[in-house]
Amino acid sequence: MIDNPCEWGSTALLIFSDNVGKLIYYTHVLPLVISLFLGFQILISNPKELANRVLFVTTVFFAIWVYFNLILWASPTPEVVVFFWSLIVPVELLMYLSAVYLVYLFSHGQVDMPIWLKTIFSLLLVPILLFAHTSLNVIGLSPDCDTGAFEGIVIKYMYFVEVLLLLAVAFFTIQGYRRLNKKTEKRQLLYIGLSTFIFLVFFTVGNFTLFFELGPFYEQYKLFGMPLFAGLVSYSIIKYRAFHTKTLITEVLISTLWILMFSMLLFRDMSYARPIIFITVIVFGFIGIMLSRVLRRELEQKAEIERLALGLERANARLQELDKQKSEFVSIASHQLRSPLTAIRGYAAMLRDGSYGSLPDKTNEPLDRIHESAKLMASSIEDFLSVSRIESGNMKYELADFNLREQAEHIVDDLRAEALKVGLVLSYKSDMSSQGFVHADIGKTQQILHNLINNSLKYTQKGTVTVFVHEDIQMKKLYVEIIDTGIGMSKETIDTLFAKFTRAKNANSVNIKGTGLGLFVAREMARAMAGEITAHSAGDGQGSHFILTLPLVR
Amino acid sequence: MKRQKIKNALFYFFLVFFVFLSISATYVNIIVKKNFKQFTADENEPRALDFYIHPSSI
Repeated sequence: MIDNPCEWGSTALLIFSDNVGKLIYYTHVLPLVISLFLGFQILISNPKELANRVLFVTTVFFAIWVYFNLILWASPTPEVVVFFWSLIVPVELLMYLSAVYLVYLFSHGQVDMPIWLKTIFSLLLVPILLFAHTSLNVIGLSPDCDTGAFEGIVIKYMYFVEVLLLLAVAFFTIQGYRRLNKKTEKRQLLYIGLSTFIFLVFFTVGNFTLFFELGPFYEQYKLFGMPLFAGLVSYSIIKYRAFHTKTLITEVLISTLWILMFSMLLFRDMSYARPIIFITVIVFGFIGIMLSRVLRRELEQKAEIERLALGLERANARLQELDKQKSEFVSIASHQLRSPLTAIRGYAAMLRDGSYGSLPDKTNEPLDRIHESAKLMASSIEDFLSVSRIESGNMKYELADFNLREQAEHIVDDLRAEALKVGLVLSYKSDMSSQGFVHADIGKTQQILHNLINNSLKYTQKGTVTVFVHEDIQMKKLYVEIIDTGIGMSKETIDTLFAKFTRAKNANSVNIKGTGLGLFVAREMARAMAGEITAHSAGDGQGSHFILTLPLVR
Repeated sequence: MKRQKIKNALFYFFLVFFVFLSISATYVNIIVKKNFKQFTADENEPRALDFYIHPSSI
């Protein structure tokens, strides 16, 4: 046994030797660092995912292979060379097998490989594991220091199996791409499959430079498949969230720069610059981590805001749909109720009038009450319908110029008799220099005035109700004020008066009838005609003061 | 699911076991016994099917 046939100096950490060219270290250490960095990064980001663990194992096997290969380059000790040369064979095949496993996972939607298939692939290892320690694997050491060792039949077998595994990667990629339905999964598979294929092709081609005895130096370039692999995997993570992990392009850039800076420490013969490079590496690493954290937090917050906004949008759409359905229901229900009510009122009136012959006097009161109740119910239904139309945006307004001053006076004349029945005085006065024309829907305006004046009549037990019409020429507004000496309102009541289904707290003491919708409808209609209704009162028992404002035309 | 986990565990156990056996055998044969050939310059280069068997490895 010749202890040091090549007469090389000793090695540090088994791999550092002055007899090894700088190119060898460059082609080995850089890919080793990249692979371990990638593997750890992905494992830490989501260790529960099987694909993440398999990728990590692949990168570890690659790193072990690189380390063993450096030992073969650097070591002067024959038994060390033969030992690691023997072991590099199963490590290489294990790396190929785990790469195939990785592609299988992506091609089958992250479903694990069945045991029987794992067993079949593992059986490929049997000849290698059985004969690793024999000369079937490594025949012996060459006297030529550059050649190193003569490779036996087992190593040739390994090259052949590697070609088969390369074809398996291609097969799983194509099969999976055709079978997978989701676009994201297809894209992930494409990138992982392609990157793995390229990585293994580099390796296999490099092995065949040895097979055809082209010399050991060409073999070294097979390691450059790893940076390409890392690049494509990183892209698939950024773009398609492969490995169920999220990373920022910033993180990839920072990591790449950090690795390149770190590698300068190992390769360059610049001992004077080493401390500076070392400090730069530390500081850059620290800043990179902080920057990456801040960016990640901002992205997470943005994603959360987007998620909440989407939730709000959906909730809003749902609410609008429900509101529309409610309005439609009210409209349909109200229409269905109106027809029978019309029949009840009509027949009650005809019976009262004697159209079906004379009836006993004692039937008069019940018939009157039937008629009044039906009329009240019809009025309530009309309110419901109006609310439904307003809320669904279906209320139609026929805007035209008309004399509101005259209309108000006519309405007062119509209601004067009714006021007298309950012992009230309904009066009209005006103070106008213009003609009193407004631009509004005449029917709706009459409805508003009837509503306001009737309210005043209902909630006034004694005294007067005055309708006062005046204008503000400069502001181009016409005001119709309804002033009564009725029960008045507190400030709290005024604040909620125009809301739906709201009545004054003291309303029931004088008038139990009412849906609480009249003022809501009146104000909505006034506003739709570019007007307004406001309510004022000095307090309970102090009377009320309603003002209808509409735009004055002339 | 539990059965699948047990099968997986057994598979990996045996895989690691046989890899460990192979490493151990290689260590003993190469490092301890130094059971390998060092070719000299005047010896012909072996072909892949040639192999050297040390009596102690059988």
